[in-house]
Amino acid sequence: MSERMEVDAETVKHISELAKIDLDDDEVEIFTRQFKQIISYFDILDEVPEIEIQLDVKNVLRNDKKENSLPREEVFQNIDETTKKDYFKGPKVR
Amino acid sequence: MKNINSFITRIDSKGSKKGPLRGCTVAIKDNISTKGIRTTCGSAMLKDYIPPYDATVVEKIKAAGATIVGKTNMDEFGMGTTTETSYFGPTLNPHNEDLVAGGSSGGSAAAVASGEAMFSLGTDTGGSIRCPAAFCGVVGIKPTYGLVSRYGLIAYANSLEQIGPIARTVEDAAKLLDVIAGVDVKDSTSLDIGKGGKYAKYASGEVDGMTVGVPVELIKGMDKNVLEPFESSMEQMKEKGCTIKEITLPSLEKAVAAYYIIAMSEASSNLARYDGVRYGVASGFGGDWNQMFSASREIGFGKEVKRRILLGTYALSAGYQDRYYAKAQRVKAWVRKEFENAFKEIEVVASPTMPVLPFKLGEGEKDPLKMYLSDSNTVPVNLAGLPAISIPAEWDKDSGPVGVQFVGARFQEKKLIRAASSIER
Repeated sequence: MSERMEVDAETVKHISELAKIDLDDDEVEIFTRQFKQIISYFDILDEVPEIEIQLDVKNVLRNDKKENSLPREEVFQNIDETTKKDYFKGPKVR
Repeated sequence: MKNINSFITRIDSKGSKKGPLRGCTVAIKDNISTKGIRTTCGSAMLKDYIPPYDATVVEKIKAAGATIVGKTNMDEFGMGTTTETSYFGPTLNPHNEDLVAGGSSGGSAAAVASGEAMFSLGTDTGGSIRCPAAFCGVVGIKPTYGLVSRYGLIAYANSLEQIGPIARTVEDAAKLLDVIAGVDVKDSTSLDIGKGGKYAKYASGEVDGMTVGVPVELIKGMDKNVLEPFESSMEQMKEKGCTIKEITLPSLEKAVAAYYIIAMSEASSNLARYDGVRYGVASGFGGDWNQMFSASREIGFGKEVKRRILLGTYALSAGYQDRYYAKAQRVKAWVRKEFENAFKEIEVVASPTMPVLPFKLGEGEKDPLKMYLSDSNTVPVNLAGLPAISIPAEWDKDSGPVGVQFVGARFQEKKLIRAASSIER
């Protein structure tokens, strides 16, 4: 098993980029401290007996029959109000 | 009475004159979709979100004739043990306003305890029905995974969570379970076992001959103020003809770590949809996709949600998956197996619902790990997909309510209902 790297501010910034959540400097500082503590608690899982994982799963299918879909105006009632009706608005693709 | 902030949105509606819940008021946790009524998940991200459809449980409650009185306050996206992570402010404990109501379904439990609703629905991913039920002195049931449809529940950790009832009495909680249980084609994890319509009659108090197991792992190091009421409940069951046995389930020592890794990992994936475009608040439309996405999530999410998404991202990132996620899945299988073995010799497992008395408001904010560890007695149930109930023990008015938890084998809700009704006051 690979040794765990110590969690530092750079680790937290890297994860925040992967998770796509900007953090301010205070949050980076607090999370660095808390993550060290929480992740070292997770080391309790280093000692877990071998156990067979039995998955109790089967396919669930339904009849392929036509049903009404949601009305357009209800689906789009949550879009940004500056947006033209019936469109989702996103940033420009450059 | 002071406003205890149970509701995010109050609704003025009328139930019908027919059905098993006619004349009954029901409050619904704000992560369960209600057509045309905003559903916020306790988050700024969804503060104006209006679902275009009803969750299956909401359709069933309406069809049963109930009057829906509002959408209840909750920890943001269900992430918390106190309802203090809500964007809409904490819910206060109706028995003592200096204490938290528990979480994450704090609004649902407080609304029932204070009489603002006769029944409510909560959701339980790692104890979020049972913890607030215990802290508010009411009854809460976390059904077997697959008994109740999750269609229309806004996802936090799909493999662990269930919708369940909260009420003042065991019989009432069972009555609401009768209404919401059953297979649903819209939720492929729901199962056609233990269909609704027959739980309430098991609230008979009859437990003569029942064998109850108490895991040492769930009582050691316990607060005396919690342990004493629990022990006197066990005495009452003994007097009614139960055999109380001490058992040991070593896997439970690892359950909190495994639970948080799985829940956070699933959250990091589920909450990826809140990008400010399809859902959520937009930060403005400058910059490229990555910049806009990241800025929207910075302003839309609170600290606990950020913490869990980031830790989940870490647990699933390259090089760490085997160390954390795969190990957590192994613990999940281990917990399940140990419970299965235990249920060959006992009928229900009993423990205090929470290892501590209700927290003071503001107590947990600084120390997330301490909060996570207080879920020790509730999370094993979600890992194993089992049913559980929390019922108030006889508690001291000064220290706050204490709950007793019973856990049963899969789809054995009726045994839990019998066991709980035997100590009901």
